[in-house]
Amino acid sequence: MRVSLPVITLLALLLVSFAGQAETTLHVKVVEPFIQIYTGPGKGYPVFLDLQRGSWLTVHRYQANWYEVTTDKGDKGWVRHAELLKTVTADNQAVVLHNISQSDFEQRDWELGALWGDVEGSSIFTLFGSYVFTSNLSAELSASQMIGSLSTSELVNLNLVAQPFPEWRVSPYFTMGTGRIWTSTNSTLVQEKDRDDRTTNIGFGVRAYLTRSFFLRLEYKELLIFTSTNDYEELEIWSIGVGSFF
Amino acid sequence: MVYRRWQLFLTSTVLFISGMSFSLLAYAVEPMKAEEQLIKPEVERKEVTLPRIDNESLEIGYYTGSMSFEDFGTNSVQGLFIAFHINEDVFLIGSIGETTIGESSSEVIYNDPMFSDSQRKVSYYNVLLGYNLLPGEVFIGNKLAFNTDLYFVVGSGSTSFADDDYATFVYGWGYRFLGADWLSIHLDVRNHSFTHYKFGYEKAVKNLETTIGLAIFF
Repeated sequence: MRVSLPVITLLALLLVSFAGQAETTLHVKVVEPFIQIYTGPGKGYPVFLDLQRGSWLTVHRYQANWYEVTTDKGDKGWVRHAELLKTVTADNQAVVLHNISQSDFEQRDWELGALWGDVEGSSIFTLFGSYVFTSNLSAELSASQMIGSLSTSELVNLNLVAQPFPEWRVSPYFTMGTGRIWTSTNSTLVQEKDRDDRTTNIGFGVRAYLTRSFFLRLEYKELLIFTSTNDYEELEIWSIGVGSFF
Repeated sequence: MVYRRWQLFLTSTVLFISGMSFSLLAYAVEPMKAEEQLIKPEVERKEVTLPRIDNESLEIGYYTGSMSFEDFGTNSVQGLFIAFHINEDVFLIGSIGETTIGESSSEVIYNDPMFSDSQRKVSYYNVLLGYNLLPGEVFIGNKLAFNTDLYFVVGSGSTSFADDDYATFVYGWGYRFLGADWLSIHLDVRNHSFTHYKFGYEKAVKNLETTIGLAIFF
């Protein structure tokens, strides 16, 4: 029965995928001397056809900067995004297929991503999601797992993030927030107790727009853990990661 | 040391507040942007007249195979993965998987089990960066051609076994065979390495995983 959960999830996803597969296509005409058609979506695949000016092609779908097309003779292949700009639609309009760029990054509403990092020798892995209120201000919810040789902690944080220069490609930000940390000591250390503490954190970092809907993120955080004995511990967290925006 | 850290904390606070005030200042002058927006709808309308082309840069799949767990034998493994294709060369792939470990030689020889059955259930997750090193095409007969990729992956995650979690470094390579535009078959070999203390001393282990997977492009 252990197989069932993943299999059911996959089947459900399959169903959703086919349900949403009402294909929209685009019929365009080549207006430059020729455009090259590749066998696959990448520069490593061979070019098998040079389509002359005046030929028509149908665009089916997009995958990582490439478009799948069929020619009027029925040949099927892939065209680079930049090449498709050398075509026009039936009513002679230039093709302006939307390619996600840095200006979309500045106007994003949501962010999702992952960070890998170091906490004074232990490793940390974080998943984050943010809602962007204005181009300067966003709220971020993150969940992390911190694994040391003596203990493992799960950490949840809610942060406010200020980004003073959202229009810069490499843009600094400052963050401040609060959260909770659950620490369980390794089973080999019998004496230690598991803990559940409140935390607060402050930090700064940079986001760098990479390509399409992806950005790189580099961050330093100072985490204060308020322990039950009215004392606090401090941890320095350095992380690097990638995110996608919507 | 504590003093230095407070100093750092205070400096960060000041930086945060100045960052915030910058933000509020920028927000205060935002109405200026309303004028720019007057021209915007026209640009957007032009894009709407064209149909939305289906974007399929996401791959979701299931894999199964065998995983050798150092000292505890080789057992079946299965999991789910999700891959985002950033561009034609680079992708991000996240996986969650589970396997069950067997008995170590000493447990068998001395008939003294170290772990309970539930402690022998191993689960792991990892997020890896992949690079399509050798994209290509294979031919079956003289009518059929399929696209393929030979890629390598590197990244990290966590392995959970016998009640504890271990930070795990993962690397490997794989072969992607595109059976159809929307369907891919993966063959992967990955090494999961971490350090554990279950035998009372620090032991670095390397666990080899060989799997076959099936994925759908969305």
